[in-house]
Amino acid sequence: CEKGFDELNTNPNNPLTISPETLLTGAETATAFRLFDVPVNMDGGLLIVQHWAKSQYTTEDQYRFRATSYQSIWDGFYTGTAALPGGLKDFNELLRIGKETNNPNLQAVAMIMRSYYFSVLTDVFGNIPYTDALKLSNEVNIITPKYDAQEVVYTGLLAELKQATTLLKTKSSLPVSGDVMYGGDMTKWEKFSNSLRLRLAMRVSDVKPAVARTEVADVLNGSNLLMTSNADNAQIVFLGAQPNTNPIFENRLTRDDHRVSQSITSVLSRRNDPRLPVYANPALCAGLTGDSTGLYRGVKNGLSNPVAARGPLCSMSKVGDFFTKPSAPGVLMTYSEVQFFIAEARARTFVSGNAEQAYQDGIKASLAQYGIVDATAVKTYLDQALVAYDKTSLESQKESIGTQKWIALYGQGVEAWSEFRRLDYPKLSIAAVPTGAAGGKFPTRFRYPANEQSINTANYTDAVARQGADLIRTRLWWDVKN
Amino acid sequence: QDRTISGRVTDRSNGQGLPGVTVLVKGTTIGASTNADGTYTLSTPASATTLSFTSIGYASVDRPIGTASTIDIGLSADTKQLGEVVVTALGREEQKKSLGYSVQDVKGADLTQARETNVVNSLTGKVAGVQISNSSGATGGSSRILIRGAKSIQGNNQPLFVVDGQPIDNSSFSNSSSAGGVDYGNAASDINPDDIESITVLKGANAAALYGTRGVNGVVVITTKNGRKSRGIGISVNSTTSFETPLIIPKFQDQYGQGYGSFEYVDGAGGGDGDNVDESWGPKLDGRLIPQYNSPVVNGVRQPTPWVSPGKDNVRNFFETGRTLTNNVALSGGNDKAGIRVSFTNLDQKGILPNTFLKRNTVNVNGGVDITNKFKLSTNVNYSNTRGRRPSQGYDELNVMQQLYTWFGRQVKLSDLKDIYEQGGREGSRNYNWIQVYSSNPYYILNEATNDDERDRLIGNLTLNYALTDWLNITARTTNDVYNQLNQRRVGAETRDNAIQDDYTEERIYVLERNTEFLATVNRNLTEDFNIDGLIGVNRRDNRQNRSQVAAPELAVPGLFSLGNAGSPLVTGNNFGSSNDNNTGILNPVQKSRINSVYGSARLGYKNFAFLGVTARNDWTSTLPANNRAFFYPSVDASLVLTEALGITESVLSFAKVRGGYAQVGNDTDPYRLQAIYPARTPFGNGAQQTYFNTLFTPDLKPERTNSVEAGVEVRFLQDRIGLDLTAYQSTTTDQILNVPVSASTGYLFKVLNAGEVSNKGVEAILTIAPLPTSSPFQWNITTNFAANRNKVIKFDDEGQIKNLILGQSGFGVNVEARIGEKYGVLFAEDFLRAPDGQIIYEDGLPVADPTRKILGSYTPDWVGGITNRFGFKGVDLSFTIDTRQGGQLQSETNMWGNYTGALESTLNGREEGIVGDGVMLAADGITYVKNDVNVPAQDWNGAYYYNVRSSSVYDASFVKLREVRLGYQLPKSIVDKTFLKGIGISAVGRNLWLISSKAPGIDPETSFNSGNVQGLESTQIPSVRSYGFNINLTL
Repeated sequence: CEKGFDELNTNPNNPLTISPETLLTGAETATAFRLFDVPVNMDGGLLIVQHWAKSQYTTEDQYRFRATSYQSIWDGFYTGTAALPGGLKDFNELLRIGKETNNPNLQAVAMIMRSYYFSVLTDVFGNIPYTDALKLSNEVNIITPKYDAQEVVYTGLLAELKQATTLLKTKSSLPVSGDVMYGGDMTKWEKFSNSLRLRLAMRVSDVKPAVARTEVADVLNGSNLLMTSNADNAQIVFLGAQPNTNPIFENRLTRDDHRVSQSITSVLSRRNDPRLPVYANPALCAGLTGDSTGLYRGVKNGLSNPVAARGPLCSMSKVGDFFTKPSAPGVLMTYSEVQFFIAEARARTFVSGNAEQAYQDGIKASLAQYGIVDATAVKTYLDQALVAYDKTSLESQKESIGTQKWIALYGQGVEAWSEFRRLDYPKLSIAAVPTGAAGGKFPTRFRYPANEQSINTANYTDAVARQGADLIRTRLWWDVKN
Repeated sequence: QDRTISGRVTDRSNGQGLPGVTVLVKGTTIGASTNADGTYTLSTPASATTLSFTSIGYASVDRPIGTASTIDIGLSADTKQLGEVVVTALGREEQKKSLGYSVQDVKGADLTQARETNVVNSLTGKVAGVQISNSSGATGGSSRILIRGAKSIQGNNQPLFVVDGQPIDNSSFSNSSSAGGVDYGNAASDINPDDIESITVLKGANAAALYGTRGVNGVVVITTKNGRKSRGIGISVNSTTSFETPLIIPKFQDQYGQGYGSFEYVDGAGGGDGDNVDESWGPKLDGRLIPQYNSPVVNGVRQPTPWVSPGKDNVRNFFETGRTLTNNVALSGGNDKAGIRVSFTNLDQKGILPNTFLKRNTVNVNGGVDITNKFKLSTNVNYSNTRGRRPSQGYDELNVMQQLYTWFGRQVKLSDLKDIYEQGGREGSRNYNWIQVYSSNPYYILNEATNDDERDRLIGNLTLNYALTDWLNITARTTNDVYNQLNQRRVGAETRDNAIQDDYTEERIYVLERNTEFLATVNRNLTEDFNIDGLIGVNRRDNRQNRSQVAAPELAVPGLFSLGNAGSPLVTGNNFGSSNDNNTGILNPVQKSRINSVYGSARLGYKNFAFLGVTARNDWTSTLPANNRAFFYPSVDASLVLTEALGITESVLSFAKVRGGYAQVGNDTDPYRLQAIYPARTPFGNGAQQTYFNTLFTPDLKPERTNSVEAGVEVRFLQDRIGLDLTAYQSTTTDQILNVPVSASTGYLFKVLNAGEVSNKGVEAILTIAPLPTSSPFQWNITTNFAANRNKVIKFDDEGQIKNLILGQSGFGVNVEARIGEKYGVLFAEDFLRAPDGQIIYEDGLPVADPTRKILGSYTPDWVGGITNRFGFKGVDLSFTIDTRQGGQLQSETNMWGNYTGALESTLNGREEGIVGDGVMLAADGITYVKNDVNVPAQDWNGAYYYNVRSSSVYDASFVKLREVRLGYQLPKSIVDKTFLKGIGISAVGRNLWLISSKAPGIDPETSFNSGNVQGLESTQIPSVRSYGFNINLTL
């Protein structure tokens, strides 16, 4: 009675095997897409840090974020969603495959990417499942993972990155295929690993200065490769054809309610910043006050719908074509960031060296990233009083670095938000109508996805009890009040 | 001298004509039999004094002739002799009194006069314990039918449909949800009511044990008409015309127009003040002068014109009067040896939304022949072609209701938009539209963004029957149900503001179910007192399903909707509608499965008043792992007719029976749920992309089990004028195979589990009353049914880690969940933050949401019931049905967004003076609460109250409806005889006429997007329809 049943029930529709290269390609592109997609970036970080603003449906710009966005960030980063499969889970499996095949390079790549996405998750939510995460299988029944304190997550990630570098230093010749970010160039991965470790170490500099000092000094002790030019940037360049196009381009196919924030257009124009025409497009018509067309005119953040509606829409600058084109890059980390971190580490005396030099190198790297390399133009820019490095105090140095970093991180909503929370510079004004749950402050985290209350109830309750109310105004562990 | 007597024989219980009744002149062999509509004509000798009327299953009646030339008579079901015969499992006819479980019948004529295009809806309010969830008013929408509550947490909870012994497919390939998509109907709606003789609902697992895995949710057994009873050639024509209008639409405000406080139209794209705002918080519609979309433009300047309301029926007038024509012609012929019936039906329905329709042609051939006395052949072949053009549903810009009910400038005159569309057509519409950023002209959407589908379906069976002896029969049967469906979604470029090109998607679906069956049936008197009725059978069931979807997101040549006209690479996969549709069906475009079965049943009767039945079945399924593929399940039931056992004859109590039974049914799962898969995505350049699948499969699944018991009592009094049928039941389904949503932090979004447990217990009651005596020329029958089901989720996983299971969610975060210890179908979302005394807490004058979510209700009702009154007098037949559903909740996005956007009448409060919300706020001490006294603009209050907090749009879903009214008249024989016809019946019918009571404002609480388990959500529903019309039935 069972003849042919095995064959009948063998899935003819989907691959029953997977290779490390197809897994790596899928995971890299999916997660880069997700990092720049609407929930965490366009309607998240970019509005909070006032790179962008909303010209319509201003709800998120007033810190009233959607429950579905929180869910989409959580589901997407950890495992991938039905609409966009591929996530952290895939890097976790690559790590396992790397161990099984004794490929230190593959293990290292997987660990670096794993650390990257865990750091995004914890910087967005705070306490998250880390030690229990991604363990569920038919053998291990961890179906309701516990949440780890953010400190535990950071300690773990710093160690993982150190180990990744150690693996890469063995200079194994085993290849890593399917790598669309660095094309299997292990030197670049080593640079990214150390640069990322520098980022995470600096992130805890306010809450655990001693840890930060030790880690930073270790990374910068001269024996570790770091990004040395924009060619080392960790980024995935999307393709010109759907469906592998940039998420901002995808969004523009059906929506048109994001504009450049007035905060950044005014900061850039006060400095005659050559990046302004890259970051924003000129307005297409005059504003209500009758001023001229063609200006780079940003929109105030957090307008009420009625005020935003007075527009006119055409008077508000759209986001620069560089960012909305189908093949715009999805950036994970840049050389300019590394220089800004070095500048700050020197300013904090974690290491010795010329902070101002690193600061200027960071600005130059950012300008170069957008094709601005003319020596005279660069010098003119750097020499301005508003741009010059203010060595007066640590606080003033933080302000110089924070402001330029905020400019350099334009478009990278998550990282810009994290650094804005940590450095508290530049001094931005709160959104015009902060009626959301932020309590008149900048949002300091996102709420946990609502479904955690249904399907991981006990651990969710425990995490909230330890971290503080599940609100967007609850501070993360590393975000020390100043 | 001979004279002619004519008349009509009806069933007293429902007033319907009874065919095949033998009318004999008593004491002679002179006689006739009645036609399909129950009429007869008989030539009698002058000596005749009495006519006798006999029919199987009915009490015989002798009637003196006297001087009458017309004798009409109503027959009552005979409970003492042969008893009422019902069709049970495997298409067998059994005495109702012998059954140890509950069954209930609906006659075919009830389905064709007051008709529904979806036959499932016809059962509403008429069968105890059966709950029908009608879809919206979209043409040809699907209906969900649930018998005795939901047993499976996630699986199919709908009964099996069986036509003439043949299981047929009732899949729904709809992708509609609260977030959008199209409802293509459920496949059982292909069954043509005109071809149905009767429907028997087998309610519990006991009744259905012989159907195996799919009988666990009950069985709807449909018997089609055949030619056997027609005696000669008969032609009947049945024609129904009905008109449909919206039953209920929201109450809108007509005092304020588009914008926020102020408004000026420049280009509909944000060029003016509030010009791209699709909300109605604008200036008062008091005739002030404002430049508007329809204002004249002089020298490039739009001239201000009076700002006025287009009238309170602006939205109502958008709907057209729907029209449904159904015409059926049936030809039947037969004699004692053979019979055939050929029927053709044309259904032509025009929806209430412009440019929506449903058309269906059905040809049914049902025939049988006795090749010899022992060898019989019968076959039933049904072909149908269904074509639909259906509206998009849910919260999606392609559903025009989203605009009309919520995002809309209330001053916009919809007839203007019609004119604009008709002038501009495909190309020009957008440039004149009132708001073009996020939605298009609704007339453009309905005409240029269409969802067409076409299904060709062939259902056929061939049965050979050979009588080896007078007590042993051998039957061989093969049944095939196969259909092909093509869905075509065309989206004109102007539908979405930023779309550059037309967009086209097509979906192809192929479904096959094939059963091959051999049966040996035994019916033998063992002794004078003992009778045995039994069978042994084997069956092979094969299921195939192919489903593919291809989209051309940008067409090269405008207006040519074809994959060949793709201007960019074709995209495959689930891109057909709603984006949050987690239906994984499309993940496996090709599905095959098989079940082999051996089964048997036996019913032992003692003196025809005591019965004991047993059934047993063993299945082997391809979808479970090798060690669990074979599973066995039994049932046992008994019944005792007390009145006969105790010899009660002449008494107030005319019939009494007790019955009871136990059954177990096993169930398998979908194919391919044992093995991990690694789905591929569109390659990144040349690089193939794969991923770990988001579901963790379990290789060692075992079958689900449902154990159920039921007991019932049936009593009738006063010569059956009062009847009561009571049933109590309990069922527990264990080892449920679940696709459990888990925290993404596990690395998966779903895990397949094999442990879930749900229990259902309930009672059903059917009360029938004939208030008038049998001798009365008036007939009045009352049928009442009532059912209450208590449903409880007991566990999910053995370890008890999982307490809640998310079944699905709305686009705005309302979860529909199964939660341990709760009723099935909990609505779980945000409530207001509340002070200790329960009052809503306000901050800055606005209500605050509680970050901890709560249970806001459940979509499962407490009880359902219906009452039908039927009056008959001299060929006039009047009946009406009222039904109700009490308890249960729903969440309404129409109300949520309609209040947010200022479209609804309820938003008029505080427009000028602002709103001080009813609640409390933190006092200056930061600890205690004082009454909220902060005045905020009405727009802000409505926005916060309805958008931030979901509980504000959760309503009690109870309702009472006047479901059906029918007034029929069968023309007297004396008139009919003057025509060339044999019978003429006319009736006026109405369905879904009046929502007598409801607590959900502006919507029909009986609403759904599909026939799945995620119910209790409403979003900008296409209004359900009130239908009224007339039916003509002619017999030649």
